[in-house]
Amino acid sequence: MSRIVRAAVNDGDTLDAASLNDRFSDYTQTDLNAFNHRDAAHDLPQFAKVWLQTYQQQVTLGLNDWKHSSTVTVNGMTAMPAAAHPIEDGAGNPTDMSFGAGLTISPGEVLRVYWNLSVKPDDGTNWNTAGSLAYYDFNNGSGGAQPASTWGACWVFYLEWDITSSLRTNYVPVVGQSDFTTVIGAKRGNALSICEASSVVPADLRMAAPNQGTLPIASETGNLEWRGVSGAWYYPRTGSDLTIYGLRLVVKGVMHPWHVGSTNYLVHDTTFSTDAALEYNGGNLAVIKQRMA
Amino acid sequence: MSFSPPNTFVDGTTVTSADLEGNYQALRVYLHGGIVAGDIQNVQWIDTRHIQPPVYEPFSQVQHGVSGHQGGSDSGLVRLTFCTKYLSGGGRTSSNAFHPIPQTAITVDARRACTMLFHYWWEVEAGPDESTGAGQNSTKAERKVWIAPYVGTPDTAYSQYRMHAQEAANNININTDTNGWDGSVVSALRPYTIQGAYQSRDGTFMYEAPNGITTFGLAAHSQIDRVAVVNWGVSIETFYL
Repeated sequence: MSRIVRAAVNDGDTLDAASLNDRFSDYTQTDLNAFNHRDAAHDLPQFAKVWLQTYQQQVTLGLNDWKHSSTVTVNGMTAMPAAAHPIEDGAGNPTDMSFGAGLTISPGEVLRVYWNLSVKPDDGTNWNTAGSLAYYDFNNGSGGAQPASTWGACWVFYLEWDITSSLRTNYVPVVGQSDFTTVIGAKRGNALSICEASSVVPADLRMAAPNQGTLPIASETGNLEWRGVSGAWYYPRTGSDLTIYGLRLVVKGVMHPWHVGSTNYLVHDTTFSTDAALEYNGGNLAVIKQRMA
Repeated sequence: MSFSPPNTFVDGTTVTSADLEGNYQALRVYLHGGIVAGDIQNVQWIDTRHIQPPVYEPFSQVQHGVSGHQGGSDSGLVRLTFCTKYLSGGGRTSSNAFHPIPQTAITVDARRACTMLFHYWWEVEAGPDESTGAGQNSTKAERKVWIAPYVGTPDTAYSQYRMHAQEAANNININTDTNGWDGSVVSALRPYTIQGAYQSRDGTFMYEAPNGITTFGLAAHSQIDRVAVVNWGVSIETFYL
């Protein structure tokens, strides 16, 4: 190991050839090491890119029409098990993210995913039909019933990836996420413990004025209107390499919270779904892969 | 390849600036691109002490280190800001103008072309706006405020990034198309906070930035006369390596 050890030149020092030559000759030695490199100020140009951040990509989701003159509509899902609706451009073309021949996630790397989408739920007319999980009756104060909503109905968005081939025809939920097809009694859904890549938006919004524990006046629908939904998902890889070929956002609904025993679920509310729908327009899906060690 | 100074000096000979600068320049070239792998040890030789300590910029609240920039700012408790239709087309549905939202911009000076991630969130209380006027959306409940990120200048919020716009609706009773704060309803029946007019949004936007100064911010297109951005936050992370 070599090292440059030489005092700095100070004001008033005599300049001579030997001193000058020595300072340049200091750099002729081989085996440059930490000490002289530190003083020689290595900077960004000496360091390669794609080391800390090993991949990034961003795609536009859905139909890019920010004022909603044209939208994509997803109808409430009633036939079980329901297929998820992949977010698309309104012409049937999925707006998924392709990784071409494959993106390898190695142990010690993390895949970071962020997305957002502009959406508008329509609660329809079936929210207060018998069997709707979002529906229950309050006392109207005169011995009668007054329908009220739980506010629990929602649409769920989650991430899927294709880890099979570049054809991207085998999308499955990402790690920590399931597809809401698990049979739970007479219902289909997910335990909340396997909803790690999910985000929800409300499917209805009803308001009513309570009066001493009763609801004398019928409830009114609220202004759900256009709103945003977003999500983030991190996947730290361990064990061995994993190659992914595609990533997409899908939606299912109408869903409602449910529980069996001590387990909480999000399940399809097929009665509510009968007349409900969801519109969406544009959004963003961004992916970044980084090394952690 | 080790370094060889192009000029050597001899006592009694005049030292010229050209010779000195020649050596300096050769050294600069060598240190900034001329070192080959054989000159560098193939075991770890960079320790923590060799890494430049990060610099914290107190105004923009961004930290700049060897791998990039990280940081951001938020509303805290007192930095409420606004969107308004009076700066974005007067509420006319034909307008596509965006105006910058005060305080939400953040500027970084990148030392190298890099990937930048711009994270943003906001919480708005929109309207109510019952105004009338030519060109405005006559259905008041459908008036909205859109907020989108921009890069460089606020007009890019529309020209390049409007697909990222997310919106909130006017605080209007959709049954009557009148003020959602209408005094005739003093109860939980129609609280303004759940009319769809009090909303939070967030997003992440990726940008491949060149070496130099890049500004991110939030811009709004409002069809509503007054929109309070009650809480907000913007942050960036950049990666040189």
